[in-house]
Amino acid sequence: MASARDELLQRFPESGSARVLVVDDHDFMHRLIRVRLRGESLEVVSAWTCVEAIEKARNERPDLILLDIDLPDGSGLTVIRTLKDAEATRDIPIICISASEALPDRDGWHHLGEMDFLRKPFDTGELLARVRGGLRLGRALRLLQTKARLDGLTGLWNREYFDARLGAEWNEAVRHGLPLSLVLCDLDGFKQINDRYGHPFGDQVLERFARVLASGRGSDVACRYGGEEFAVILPNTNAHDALEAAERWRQAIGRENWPTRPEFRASASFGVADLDVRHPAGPAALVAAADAALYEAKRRGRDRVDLADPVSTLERGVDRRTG
Amino acid sequence: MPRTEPIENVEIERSEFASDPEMRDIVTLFVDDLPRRAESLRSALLAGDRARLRMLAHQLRGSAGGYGFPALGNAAANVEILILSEAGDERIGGAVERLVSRCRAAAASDRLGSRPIVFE
Repeated sequence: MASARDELLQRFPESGSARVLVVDDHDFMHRLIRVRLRGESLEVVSAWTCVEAIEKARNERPDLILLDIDLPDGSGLTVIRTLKDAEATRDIPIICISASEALPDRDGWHHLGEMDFLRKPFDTGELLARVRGGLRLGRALRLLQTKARLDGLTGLWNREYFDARLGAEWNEAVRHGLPLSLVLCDLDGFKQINDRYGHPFGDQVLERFARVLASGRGSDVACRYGGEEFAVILPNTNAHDALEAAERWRQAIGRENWPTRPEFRASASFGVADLDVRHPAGPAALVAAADAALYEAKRRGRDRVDLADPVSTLERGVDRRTG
Repeated sequence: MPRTEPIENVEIERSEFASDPEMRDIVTLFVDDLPRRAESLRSALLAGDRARLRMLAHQLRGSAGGYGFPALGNAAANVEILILSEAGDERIGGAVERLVSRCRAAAASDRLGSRPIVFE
């Protein structure tokens, strides 16, 4: 499961420490916090102003921010607003630190999403508890977001992720004039598999097929499209190479052995479409074209790979959807 | 608890963390910086620069407690609160003098160690 696993590893490294960004205008606070966090095996990054804090939050991607709210070039509120507005930094937990009595309500601090507050002077136990809590919250949030985009049975990306990712890849391809291919595929006779061998066996077939689709290049994005239908986005790949990949997958699922059902042989049909850079009609049109090609593969006897003709299949795809 | 005791007419405030091996080095750095900080407070007061005075007091308010000098932190908080409440010069001046004395008291704590400290 190349892409899903790679992203998980990137988000939840097995080794290495969490990174904390400390924002304060006073050198002695930086020294103090560094010493107090010494036993936590954390990497501490420092910033002294709002501008620097925003820049470092973007570039260093900290797992947690300790933010003094009284900074020389403005209020920490500006930093929070800016970070919460950008997708890349939105979910970084923030612990506000201030020597003031309380955060004034008029500034609307409490409307700015999840965050914690620590008053100076703080004792070490309090600091450590908040920092550990903030890091845990961040990890849980990232895990939840990733899990919400994975298919529970197969571990591939789910449909929601597919839609978002295809849009992003399509934009990339059009912007840079790069090829982009999409493979839609469907296990043949899946209903009969379930009826004849039972749903647990059907699930096994789905899982095995998912593994085949995920065995490709690291850049391929294998997704469960729905039911027994799967989709693989192949960035920077032309139709010729996408056809070859689909053919490999077709042969691979056909070669699978099923020890509990030796007589069984799985097969799948594949529809391949590629982005026509001269007439980029949008990601939905690419899906429609691949879907039409898959329909053709089914109609022509299954267990085969068909390539969409950019214009005619697109029209057929649209016809199928409207008719 | 911090120990305070009069030595040569100066009340000494020792850091609560003076014997914490983890903190000792940075407490020394903090204490060494106090004469310079007291000087900055005085010159900001003389210049009538309330924004700078507030910034200096605010920084001390936030850090002093963390370095084990709660009395110094309270004196700094007092200055900041008076400035924020737009108190008169005289009250602010008095509070700054008390804060400077507190800086002295904390800095003098270093005399209890081996190094002599110069304080004008």
